[in-house]
Amino acid sequence: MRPAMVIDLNRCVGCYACVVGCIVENIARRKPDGTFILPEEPVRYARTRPYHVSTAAGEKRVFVQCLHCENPPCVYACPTGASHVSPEGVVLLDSSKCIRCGLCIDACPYGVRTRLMEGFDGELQHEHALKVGIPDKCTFCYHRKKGDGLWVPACVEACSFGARIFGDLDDPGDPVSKLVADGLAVPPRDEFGTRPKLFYVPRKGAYEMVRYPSRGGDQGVSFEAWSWLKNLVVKPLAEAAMAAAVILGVIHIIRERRGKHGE
Amino acid sequence: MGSERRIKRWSRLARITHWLLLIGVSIGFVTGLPVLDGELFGFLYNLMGGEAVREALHYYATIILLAPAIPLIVARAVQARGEEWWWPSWGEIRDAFTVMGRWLGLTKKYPVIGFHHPIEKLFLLSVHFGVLLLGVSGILMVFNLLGVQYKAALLLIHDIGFIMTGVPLAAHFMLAINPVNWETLRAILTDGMVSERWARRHHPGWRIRREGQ
Repeated sequence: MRPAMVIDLNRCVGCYACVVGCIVENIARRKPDGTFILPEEPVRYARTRPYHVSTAAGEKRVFVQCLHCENPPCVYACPTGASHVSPEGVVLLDSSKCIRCGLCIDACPYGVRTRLMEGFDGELQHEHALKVGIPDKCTFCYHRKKGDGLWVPACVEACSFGARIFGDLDDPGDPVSKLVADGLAVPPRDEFGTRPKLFYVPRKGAYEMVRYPSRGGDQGVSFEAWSWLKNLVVKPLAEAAMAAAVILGVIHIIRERRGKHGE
Repeated sequence: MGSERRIKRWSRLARITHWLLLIGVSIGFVTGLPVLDGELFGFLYNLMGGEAVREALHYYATIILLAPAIPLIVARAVQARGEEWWWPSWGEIRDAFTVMGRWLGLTKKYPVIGFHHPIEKLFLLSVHFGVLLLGVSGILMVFNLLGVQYKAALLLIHDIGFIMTGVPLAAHFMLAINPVNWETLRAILTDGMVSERWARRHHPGWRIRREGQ
Protein backbone atom coordinates (compact mmCIF):
# COMPACT_ATOMS: atom_id res chain seq x y z
CA MET A 1 0.00 0.00 0.00
CA ARG A 2 1.26 3.49 -0.93
CA PRO A 3 -1.20 6.11 0.31
CA ALA A 4 -1.37 9.26 -1.79
CA MET A 5 -3.66 12.24 -2.11
CA VAL A 6 -5.01 14.13 -5.08
CA ILE A 7 -6.40 17.66 -4.79
CA ASP A 8 -8.58 18.50 -7.75
CA LEU A 9 -8.32 22.27 -8.08
CA ASN A 10 -11.23 22.32 -10.54
CA ARG A 11 -13.51 21.00 -7.84
CA CYS A 12 -12.10 23.02 -4.96
CA VAL A 13 -14.33 25.99 -4.17
CA GLY A 14 -12.12 27.32 -1.38
CA CYS A 15 -14.62 26.72 1.39
CA TYR A 16 -11.87 25.92 3.93
CA ALA A 17 -13.74 22.87 5.20
CA CYS A 18 -10.48 20.90 4.86
CA VAL A 19 -8.67 23.50 6.97
CA VAL A 20 -11.32 23.38 9.69
CA GLY A 21 -11.38 19.58 9.55
CA CYS A 22 -7.59 19.50 10.02
CA ILE A 23 -7.68 21.96 12.91
CA VAL A 24 -10.40 20.04 14.73
CA GLU A 25 -8.58 16.75 14.15
CA ASN A 26 -4.93 17.66 14.69
CA ILE A 27 -4.46 21.15 16.07
CA ALA A 28 -7.17 21.95 18.59
CA ARG A 29 -6.91 20.53 22.06
CA ARG A 30 -9.66 19.58 24.40
CA LYS A 31 -10.44 20.90 27.84
CA PRO A 32 -11.57 18.37 30.43
CA ASP A 33 -15.15 19.51 29.81
CA GLY A 34 -14.85 18.48 26.15
CA THR A 35 -14.69 21.93 24.60
CA PHE A 36 -11.93 22.79 22.14
CA ILE A 37 -8.93 25.05 22.72
CA LEU A 38 -7.23 26.67 19.73
CA PRO A 39 -3.66 27.99 19.66
CA GLU A 40 -3.21 31.45 21.11
CA GLU A 41 -3.66 34.41 18.79
CA PRO A 42 -2.13 35.45 16.46
CA VAL A 43 -1.40 31.86 15.50
CA ARG A 44 -3.80 30.48 12.96
CA TYR A 45 -2.46 27.22 11.77
CA ALA A 46 -3.60 24.10 10.01
CA ARG A 47 -1.57 21.39 8.36
CA THR A 48 -3.20 22.20 5.05
CA ARG A 49 -2.99 25.89 4.24
CA PRO A 50 -4.21 28.11 1.40
CA TYR A 51 -1.73 29.98 -0.75
CA HIS A 52 -2.78 32.63 -3.18
CA VAL A 53 -1.10 32.47 -6.55
CA SER A 54 -1.33 35.43 -8.89
CA THR A 55 -2.16 34.37 -12.41
CA ALA A 56 -3.17 36.07 -15.63
CA ALA A 57 -6.73 35.06 -14.83
CA GLY A 58 -6.58 36.67 -11.40
CA GLU A 59 -5.70 35.30 -8.02
CA LYS A 60 -6.04 31.56 -7.53
CA ARG A 61 -5.97 29.60 -4.34
CA VAL A 62 -4.05 26.38 -3.88
CA PHE A 63 -3.98 24.33 -0.69
CA VAL A 64 -0.50 23.27 0.36
CA GLN A 65 0.63 20.66 2.87
CA CYS A 66 3.29 18.00 3.38
CA LEU A 67 3.73 16.12 0.12
CA HIS A 68 4.92 12.86 1.73
CA CYS A 69 7.81 12.59 -0.71
CA GLU A 70 9.19 9.20 -1.59
CA ASN A 71 12.61 10.86 -1.57
CA PRO A 72 12.10 13.02 1.54
CA PRO A 73 14.83 15.62 2.24
CA CYS A 74 13.43 16.19 5.75
CA VAL A 75 14.02 12.55 6.65
CA TYR A 76 17.55 12.69 5.23
CA ALA A 77 18.32 15.86 7.19
CA CYS A 78 17.03 14.61 10.55
CA PRO A 79 19.98 13.74 12.83
CA THR A 80 17.95 11.59 15.23
CA GLY A 81 15.62 9.57 13.03
CA ALA A 82 12.66 11.51 14.45
CA SER A 83 11.53 12.27 10.91
CA HIS A 84 10.87 8.89 9.41
CA VAL A 85 8.81 7.10 6.81
CA SER A 86 6.10 4.69 7.94
CA PRO A 87 5.94 1.23 6.35
CA GLU A 88 3.17 2.60 4.11
CA GLY A 89 5.32 5.52 2.96
CA VAL A 90 3.75 8.25 5.08
CA VAL A 91 6.33 10.77 6.32
CA LEU A 92 5.93 11.08 10.09
CA LEU A 93 7.69 12.72 12.99
CA ASP A 94 8.37 10.97 16.29
CA SER A 95 8.35 13.87 18.75
CA SER A 96 10.05 11.79 21.46
CA LYS A 97 13.18 11.63 19.27
CA CYS A 98 13.03 15.22 18.00
CA ILE A 99 15.73 17.55 19.32
CA ARG A 100 14.13 20.57 17.59
CA CYS A 101 17.23 21.41 15.57
CA GLY A 102 15.04 22.62 12.71
CA LEU A 103 17.04 20.95 9.94
CA CYS A 104 13.88 19.36 8.56
CA ILE A 105 12.33 22.82 8.18
CA ASP A 106 15.36 23.99 6.21
CA ALA A 107 15.52 20.79 4.18
CA CYS A 108 11.93 20.85 2.88
CA PRO A 109 12.06 22.54 -0.53
CA TYR A 110 8.32 23.19 -0.37
CA GLY A 111 8.57 24.93 2.99
CA VAL A 112 5.67 22.99 4.45
CA ARG A 113 7.18 22.22 7.83
CA THR A 114 6.28 24.75 10.48
CA ARG A 115 7.13 25.08 14.13
CA LEU A 116 4.69 26.81 16.44
CA MET A 117 6.27 28.37 19.47
CA GLU A 118 3.04 29.70 21.02
CA GLY A 119 1.89 27.60 23.90
CA PHE A 120 -1.60 26.41 24.56
CA ASP A 121 -3.07 24.15 27.15
CA GLY A 122 -5.29 21.13 26.92
CA GLU A 123 -4.87 17.48 26.14
CA LEU A 124 -3.51 16.22 22.83
CA GLN A 125 -6.19 14.40 20.90
CA HIS A 126 -3.78 11.75 19.58
CA GLU A 127 -0.04 11.00 19.40
CA HIS A 128 0.41 12.74 16.03
CA ALA A 129 -1.39 15.93 17.08
CA LEU A 130 0.45 19.26 16.94
CA LYS A 131 3.00 19.74 19.70
CA VAL A 132 4.36 23.18 20.50
CA GLY A 133 8.03 23.60 19.55
CA ILE A 134 8.14 20.45 17.40
CA PRO A 135 8.26 20.95 13.61
CA ASP A 136 4.76 20.13 12.46
CA LYS A 137 3.41 18.67 9.25
CA CYS A 138 0.55 16.76 7.71
CA THR A 139 0.52 13.08 8.62
CA PHE A 140 -2.31 12.06 6.27
CA CYS A 141 -4.09 11.59 9.66
CA TYR A 142 -2.01 8.47 10.23
CA HIS A 143 -3.57 8.07 13.67
CA ARG A 144 -6.78 7.08 11.89
CA LYS A 145 -5.13 4.00 10.43
CA LYS A 146 -6.64 0.81 11.79
CA GLY A 147 -5.61 -2.59 10.50
CA ASP A 148 -4.19 -3.04 7.02
CA GLY A 149 -6.75 -1.04 5.09
CA LEU A 150 -6.71 2.51 3.83
CA TRP A 151 -8.07 5.18 6.11
CA VAL A 152 -9.71 8.55 5.45
CA PRO A 153 -7.86 11.74 6.48
CA ALA A 154 -9.93 14.45 8.16
CA CYS A 155 -9.54 16.92 5.29
CA VAL A 156 -10.82 14.35 2.79
CA GLU A 157 -13.75 13.56 5.05
CA ALA A 158 -14.54 17.26 5.41
CA CYS A 159 -14.49 18.07 1.68
CA SER A 160 -18.07 18.09 0.42
CA PHE A 161 -17.09 18.66 -3.21
CA GLY A 162 -14.89 15.61 -3.73
CA ALA A 163 -11.89 17.83 -4.39
CA ARG A 164 -9.70 15.74 -2.13
CA ILE A 165 -9.22 12.09 -2.94
CA PHE A 166 -7.15 9.71 -0.84
CA GLY A 167 -6.08 6.41 -2.31
CA ASP A 168 -3.48 3.77 -2.91
CA LEU A 169 -0.89 4.23 -5.65
CA ASP A 170 -0.14 0.52 -5.59
CA ASP A 171 -3.73 -0.34 -6.52
CA PRO A 172 -4.14 0.20 -10.29
CA GLY A 173 -7.92 0.36 -9.88
CA ASP A 174 -7.82 3.12 -7.27
CA PRO A 175 -9.11 6.53 -8.50
CA VAL A 176 -5.94 8.23 -7.25
CA SER A 177 -3.78 5.71 -9.07
CA LYS A 178 -5.79 6.18 -12.28
CA LEU A 179 -5.61 10.00 -12.13
CA VAL A 180 -1.85 9.82 -11.70
CA ALA A 181 -1.39 7.14 -14.36
CA ASP A 182 -3.49 9.14 -16.84
CA GLY A 183 -1.40 12.23 -16.19
CA LEU A 184 -4.42 14.20 -15.02
CA ALA A 185 -2.99 14.54 -11.51
CA VAL A 186 0.55 15.88 -11.40
CA PRO A 187 3.11 16.39 -8.62
CA PRO A 188 4.05 20.02 -8.00
CA ARG A 189 7.58 21.16 -8.84
CA ASP A 190 8.72 17.81 -10.12
CA GLU A 191 12.16 19.36 -10.69
CA PHE A 192 12.92 19.07 -6.95
CA GLY A 193 13.22 15.32 -7.50
CA THR A 194 11.55 14.45 -4.21
CA ARG A 195 8.76 12.37 -5.82
CA PRO A 196 5.80 13.72 -3.86
CA LYS A 197 2.72 11.63 -3.11
CA LEU A 198 0.47 14.67 -3.09
CA PHE A 199 -0.83 15.38 -6.58
CA TYR A 200 -2.97 18.13 -8.04
CA VAL A 201 -5.42 18.17 -10.89
CA PRO A 202 -4.62 21.69 -12.11
CA ARG A 203 -7.03 24.20 -13.51
CA LYS A 204 -6.71 25.19 -17.16
CA GLY A 205 -3.33 26.83 -17.68
CA ALA A 206 -1.88 25.06 -14.63
CA TYR A 207 -0.74 28.39 -13.17
CA GLU A 208 -0.86 27.02 -9.66
CA MET A 209 1.59 24.30 -10.59
CA VAL A 210 3.99 26.69 -12.31
CA ARG A 211 3.93 29.04 -9.34
CA TYR A 212 3.45 26.41 -6.67
CA PRO A 213 4.91 27.72 -3.42
CA SER A 214 8.46 26.70 -2.66
CA ARG A 215 10.90 28.01 -0.16
CA GLY A 216 13.91 29.95 -1.44
CA GLY A 217 14.07 28.60 -4.97
CA ASP A 218 15.71 25.39 -6.08
CA GLN A 219 17.83 23.47 -3.62
CA GLY A 220 21.38 24.20 -4.80
CA VAL A 221 22.87 21.25 -2.94
CA SER A 222 20.77 18.29 -2.05
CA PHE A 223 20.20 17.28 1.55
CA GLU A 224 20.14 13.71 0.28
CA ALA A 225 23.79 14.00 -0.83
CA TRP A 226 24.78 15.63 2.45
CA SER A 227 22.90 13.02 4.45
CA TRP A 228 24.50 10.21 2.46
CA LEU A 229 27.99 11.62 3.04
CA LYS A 230 27.26 12.35 6.68
CA ASN A 231 25.89 8.92 7.52
CA LEU A 232 28.33 6.94 5.44
CA VAL A 233 31.53 8.94 5.90
CA VAL A 234 31.47 11.92 8.27
CA LYS A 235 29.69 10.44 11.28
CA PRO A 236 31.48 7.06 11.38
CA LEU A 237 34.83 8.73 10.62
CA ALA A 238 34.42 11.39 13.30
CA GLU A 239 33.22 8.98 15.96
CA ALA A 240 35.73 6.23 15.13
CA ALA A 241 38.64 8.68 14.96
CA MET A 242 37.70 10.33 18.26
CA ALA A 243 37.26 6.95 19.92
CA ALA A 244 40.63 5.85 18.49
CA ALA A 245 42.26 9.02 19.82
CA VAL A 246 40.89 8.32 23.30
CA ILE A 247 41.89 4.63 23.23
CA LEU A 248 45.39 5.37 21.91
CA GLY A 249 45.68 8.11 24.54
CA VAL A 250 44.87 5.62 27.30
CA ILE A 251 47.37 3.11 25.86
CA HIS A 252 49.98 5.88 25.71
CA ILE A 253 49.39 6.80 29.35
CA ILE A 254 49.68 3.15 30.42
CA ARG A 255 52.87 2.64 28.38
CA GLU A 256 54.45 5.78 29.81
CA ARG A 257 53.59 4.75 33.38
CA ARG A 258 55.04 1.28 32.80
CA GLY A 259 58.16 2.82 31.25
CA LYS A 260 58.52 5.19 34.19
CA HIS A 261 58.23 2.34 36.69
CA GLY A 262 60.67 0.28 34.64
CA GLU A 263 63.33 3.01 34.71
CA MET B 1 68.68 23.64 42.95
CA GLY B 2 68.91 24.76 39.31
CA SER B 3 66.40 22.10 38.31
CA GLU B 4 63.74 23.72 40.55
CA ARG B 5 63.98 27.00 38.71
CA ARG B 6 60.67 27.92 37.16
CA ILE B 7 60.53 29.26 33.65
CA LYS B 8 57.82 30.85 31.53
CA ARG B 9 56.37 28.37 29.04
CA TRP B 10 53.06 30.00 28.14
CA SER B 11 52.72 33.76 27.70
CA ARG B 12 49.63 35.60 28.93
CA LEU B 13 48.50 35.90 25.28
CA ALA B 14 48.81 32.15 24.76
CA ARG B 15 46.89 31.38 27.96
CA ILE B 16 44.02 33.78 27.19
CA THR B 17 43.77 32.37 23.65
CA HIS B 18 43.78 28.84 25.07
CA TRP B 19 41.03 29.65 27.57
CA LEU B 20 38.88 31.24 24.86
CA LEU B 21 39.36 28.24 22.57
CA LEU B 22 38.83 25.80 25.45
CA ILE B 23 35.49 27.28 26.53
CA GLY B 24 34.26 28.25 23.05
CA VAL B 25 35.09 24.93 21.41
CA SER B 26 33.75 22.93 24.37
CA ILE B 27 30.42 24.77 24.20
CA GLY B 28 30.35 24.34 20.43
CA PHE B 29 31.00 20.60 20.74
CA VAL B 30 28.54 19.85 23.50
CA THR B 31 25.78 21.80 21.75
CA GLY B 32 26.68 20.53 18.27
CA LEU B 33 27.07 16.82 18.94
CA PRO B 34 23.28 16.24 19.15
CA VAL B 35 22.99 17.50 15.57
CA LEU B 36 25.92 15.39 14.35
CA ASP B 37 24.48 12.21 15.85
CA GLY B 38 21.21 12.72 17.65
CA GLU B 39 20.79 9.01 18.41
CA LEU B 40 24.05 8.94 20.37
CA PHE B 41 24.24 12.47 21.75
CA GLY B 42 20.58 13.53 21.80
CA PHE B 43 20.58 13.30 25.60
CA LEU B 44 22.87 16.36 25.70
CA TYR B 45 20.06 18.36 24.15
CA ASN B 46 17.78 17.68 27.09
CA LEU B 47 20.58 18.19 29.60
CA MET B 48 21.25 21.68 28.34
CA GLY B 49 17.61 22.71 28.62
CA GLY B 50 16.15 22.66 25.15
CA GLU B 51 16.49 24.34 21.78
CA ALA B 52 16.46 27.98 22.91
CA VAL B 53 19.44 27.37 25.22
CA ARG B 54 21.19 25.20 22.62
CA GLU B 55 20.81 27.87 19.95
CA ALA B 56 21.98 30.65 22.25
CA LEU B 57 25.05 28.63 23.19
CA HIS B 58 25.87 27.06 19.82
CA TYR B 59 25.20 30.13 17.69
CA TYR B 60 26.14 33.08 19.84
CA ALA B 61 28.28 31.99 22.80
CA THR B 62 30.72 30.27 20.43
CA ILE B 63 30.95 33.34 18.18
CA ILE B 64 31.42 35.66 21.17
CA LEU B 65 34.15 33.44 22.63
CA LEU B 66 35.96 32.40 19.46
CA ALA B 67 35.90 35.71 17.57
CA PRO B 68 38.39 37.40 19.97
CA ALA B 69 40.68 34.38 19.58
CA ILE B 70 41.36 35.38 15.95
CA PRO B 71 43.20 38.67 16.67
CA LEU B 72 44.93 36.98 19.60
CA ILE B 73 46.20 34.17 17.36
CA VAL B 74 47.39 36.76 14.84
CA ALA B 75 49.05 38.76 17.62
CA ARG B 76 50.72 35.60 18.89
CA ALA B 77 51.93 34.82 15.37
CA VAL B 78 53.54 38.25 15.29
CA GLN B 79 54.97 38.09 18.83
CA ALA B 80 55.95 34.41 19.09
CA ARG B 81 59.63 33.84 19.12
CA GLY B 82 60.52 31.43 16.28
CA GLU B 83 60.26 28.04 17.88
CA GLU B 84 57.19 28.99 19.95
CA TRP B 85 55.08 29.47 16.83
CA TRP B 86 52.93 26.44 16.14
CA TRP B 87 53.01 26.39 12.33
CA PRO B 88 54.98 23.22 11.50
CA SER B 89 57.91 23.19 9.10
CA TRP B 90 58.38 20.33 6.64
CA GLY B 91 61.07 18.96 8.93
CA GLU B 92 58.65 18.96 11.85
CA ILE B 93 56.01 17.19 9.79
CA ARG B 94 58.64 14.54 9.05
CA ASP B 95 59.52 14.44 12.76
CA ALA B 96 55.84 13.91 13.62
CA PHE B 97 55.75 10.79 11.44
CA THR B 98 59.04 9.63 12.98
CA VAL B 99 57.47 9.91 16.46
CA MET B 100 54.42 7.94 15.30
CA GLY B 101 56.70 5.30 13.77
CA ARG B 102 58.63 5.04 17.02
CA TRP B 103 55.38 4.68 18.97
CA LEU B 104 54.34 1.84 16.68
CA GLY B 105 57.78 0.21 16.96
CA LEU B 106 58.62 0.80 13.29
CA THR B 107 61.77 2.84 13.93
CA LYS B 108 64.22 3.50 16.73
CA LYS B 109 64.81 7.10 15.67
CA TYR B 110 63.39 9.88 17.81
CA PRO B 111 63.72 13.59 17.04
CA VAL B 112 64.86 16.14 19.57
CA ILE B 113 61.67 17.76 20.87
CA GLY B 114 61.73 21.56 20.81
CA PHE B 115 59.31 24.01 22.42
CA HIS B 116 56.34 22.28 20.74
CA HIS B 117 56.06 18.57 20.13
CA PRO B 118 55.90 18.05 16.32
CA ILE B 119 52.61 16.09 16.61
CA GLU B 120 51.18 18.88 18.74
CA LYS B 121 51.99 21.29 15.92
CA LEU B 122 50.10 19.12 13.44
CA PHE B 123 47.16 18.99 15.86
CA LEU B 124 47.16 22.76 16.27
CA LEU B 125 47.33 23.31 12.52
CA SER B 126 44.32 21.05 12.02
CA VAL B 127 42.42 22.65 14.90
CA HIS B 128 42.96 26.20 13.68
CA PHE B 129 41.84 25.41 10.13
CA GLY B 130 38.96 23.34 11.52
CA VAL B 131 37.76 26.18 13.73
CA LEU B 132 38.04 28.52 10.74
CA LEU B 133 35.81 26.23 8.65
CA LEU B 134 33.39 25.81 11.55
CA GLY B 135 33.28 29.55 12.13
CA VAL B 136 32.82 30.66 8.54
CA SER B 137 30.20 28.02 7.68
CA GLY B 138 28.49 28.51 11.05
CA ILE B 139 28.18 32.28 10.72
CA LEU B 140 26.86 31.92 7.17
CA MET B 141 24.21 29.50 8.49
CA VAL B 142 23.28 31.42 11.64
CA PHE B 143 22.63 34.63 9.76
CA ASN B 144 21.37 32.80 6.64
CA LEU B 145 23.72 34.84 4.46
CA LEU B 146 23.71 32.48 1.48
CA GLY B 147 20.10 31.29 1.58
CA VAL B 148 18.75 27.88 2.41
CA GLN B 149 19.77 26.35 -0.90
CA TYR B 150 23.38 26.25 0.32
CA LYS B 151 22.56 24.92 3.77
CA ALA B 152 23.47 21.32 2.93
CA ALA B 153 26.83 22.40 1.48
CA LEU B 154 27.52 24.57 4.53
CA LEU B 155 26.60 21.68 6.80
CA LEU B 156 29.11 19.51 4.96
CA ILE B 157 31.84 22.15 5.43
CA HIS B 158 30.80 22.39 9.09
CA ASP B 159 31.14 18.61 9.41
CA ILE B 160 34.62 18.65 7.85
CA GLY B 161 35.60 21.44 10.22
CA PHE B 162 34.29 19.36 13.09
CA ILE B 163 36.44 16.37 12.14
CA MET B 164 39.51 18.60 11.69
CA THR B 165 38.88 20.05 15.15
CA GLY B 166 37.33 17.22 17.12
CA VAL B 167 39.76 14.41 16.40
CA PRO B 168 42.98 16.33 17.24
CA LEU B 169 41.29 17.83 20.29
CA ALA B 170 40.30 14.38 21.56
CA ALA B 171 43.95 13.36 21.23
CA HIS B 172 45.08 16.70 22.73
CA PHE B 173 42.77 16.12 25.70
CA MET B 174 44.16 12.63 26.25
CA LEU B 175 47.72 13.97 26.13
CA ALA B 176 46.77 16.78 28.53
CA ILE B 177 45.45 14.37 31.16
CA ASN B 178 48.57 12.21 30.90
CA PRO B 179 50.27 12.67 34.31
CA VAL B 180 53.63 13.44 32.68
CA ASN B 181 52.04 16.52 31.11
CA TRP B 182 50.24 17.83 34.19
CA GLU B 183 52.91 20.42 34.74
CA THR B 184 52.37 22.08 31.37
CA LEU B 185 48.59 21.59 31.74
CA ARG B 186 48.63 23.47 35.03
CA ALA B 187 50.87 26.11 33.43
CA ILE B 188 48.57 26.80 30.44
CA LEU B 189 45.55 27.02 32.74
CA THR B 190 47.16 29.22 35.41
CA ASP B 191 50.44 31.16 35.48
CA GLY B 192 52.27 29.75 32.46
CA MET B 193 55.28 28.59 34.53
CA VAL B 194 56.91 25.14 34.44
CA SER B 195 60.00 23.82 36.20
CA GLU B 196 63.21 23.86 34.22
CA ARG B 197 63.67 20.18 35.10
CA TRP B 198 60.36 19.30 33.38
CA ALA B 199 61.26 21.47 30.39
CA ARG B 200 64.71 19.86 29.99
CA ARG B 201 63.25 16.39 30.27
CA HIS B 202 60.28 16.74 27.90
CA HIS B 203 61.48 19.46 25.53
CA PRO B 204 65.26 19.07 25.39
CA GLY B 205 65.44 21.04 22.14
CA TRP B 206 63.70 24.07 23.65
CA ARG B 207 66.18 26.91 23.70
CA ILE B 208 65.33 28.26 27.13
CA ARG B 209 66.11 31.93 27.50
CA ARG B 210 67.55 33.02 30.77
CA GLU B 211 66.89 36.44 32.28
CA GLY B 212 68.50 39.18 30.23
CA GLN B 213 68.94 36.99 27.12
